[in-house]
Amino acid sequence: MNAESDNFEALRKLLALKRYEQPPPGYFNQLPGRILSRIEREEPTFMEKLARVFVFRPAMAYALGLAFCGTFAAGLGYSLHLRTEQMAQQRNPLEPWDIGAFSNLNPSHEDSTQFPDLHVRGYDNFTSATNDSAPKPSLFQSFEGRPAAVSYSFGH
Amino acid sequence: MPPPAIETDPNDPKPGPEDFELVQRAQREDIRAYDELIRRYQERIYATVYHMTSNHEDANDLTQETFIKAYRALKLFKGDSSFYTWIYRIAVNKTINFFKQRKNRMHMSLDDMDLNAEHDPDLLSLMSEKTPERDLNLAELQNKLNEAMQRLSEQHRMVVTLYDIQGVSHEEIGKMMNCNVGTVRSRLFYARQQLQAYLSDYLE
Repeated sequence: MNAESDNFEALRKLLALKRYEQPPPGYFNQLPGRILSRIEREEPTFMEKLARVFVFRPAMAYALGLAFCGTFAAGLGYSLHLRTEQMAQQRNPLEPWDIGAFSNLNPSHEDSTQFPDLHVRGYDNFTSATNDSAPKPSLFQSFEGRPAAVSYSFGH
Repeated sequence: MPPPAIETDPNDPKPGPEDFELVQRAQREDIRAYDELIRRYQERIYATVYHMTSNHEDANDLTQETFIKAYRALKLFKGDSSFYTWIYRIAVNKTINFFKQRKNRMHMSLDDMDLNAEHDPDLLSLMSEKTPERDLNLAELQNKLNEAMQRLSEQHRMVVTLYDIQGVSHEEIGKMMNCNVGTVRSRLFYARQQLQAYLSDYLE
């Protein structure tokens, strides 16, 4: 340690010269007054006040935390309840994706015309025809093409 | 003679009421007690911040902010450490945060040297050498010294300031900077090596 101190002795002497650097004369007489006037003038921020209250009254911090959690939980519960009610009220039995609506649907021509989007040409006739004794239309009736021989071997 | 280094023993008797008594009164918002505490520590706090920043205006602002913050947090002070260590810790943190916020700004505004400096034997020996590098005046030496200090990192500069300039013990520095004594010693050794390299022209 002594060797280390000796190594840096000149440096320490040089650094000690910095102690001579002094602020303007009278500076330290005025500084306390400036600080105290700033303390009186500048109000602590809201967060500083809050932190101070919580540090000195931990029970208050716990109570506030509890109240906050309670309010949050109650709000969440009420919000979920409200949402469920709204969904129940807004439920439209005519929505095509609603399974409940399809379960009540009478597959007659009159009913199906209420849903233009679901109205398929040919299908209505087909479905209504099922009630009659008329013969069922063939799916291949309108096919007019002719079968042609094809070879799947390579090179042909 | 240079002004004496600060007391490293926080329990040293001081004239007038003890720090603890003043702190208790200030905690009850006795502004006169806090005024007394400011007068007790303002020079040390200012000097520490000034040697870190090498700028009088910044040191002035940071010193004021340190005492204002300490007053607002005074009720949190439980007396686990001395008031002296506690307020130093605030000053150290404020100064290091200041450097983090103003990373690229480096402007020196140096305090004038005390007239007694010209009679300091150490300074005379430094300036009386005949080598051209040492043919410099007091202001130049002051500038070189501060420039070299500013080239150190904040942590290293703080250790040199507190130990070599302010005279604070390793243990107290550890408490102030929230690190162990070994770290303080290693930082001090590294910082001195760096300074010695920067100032080699002015050292024997």
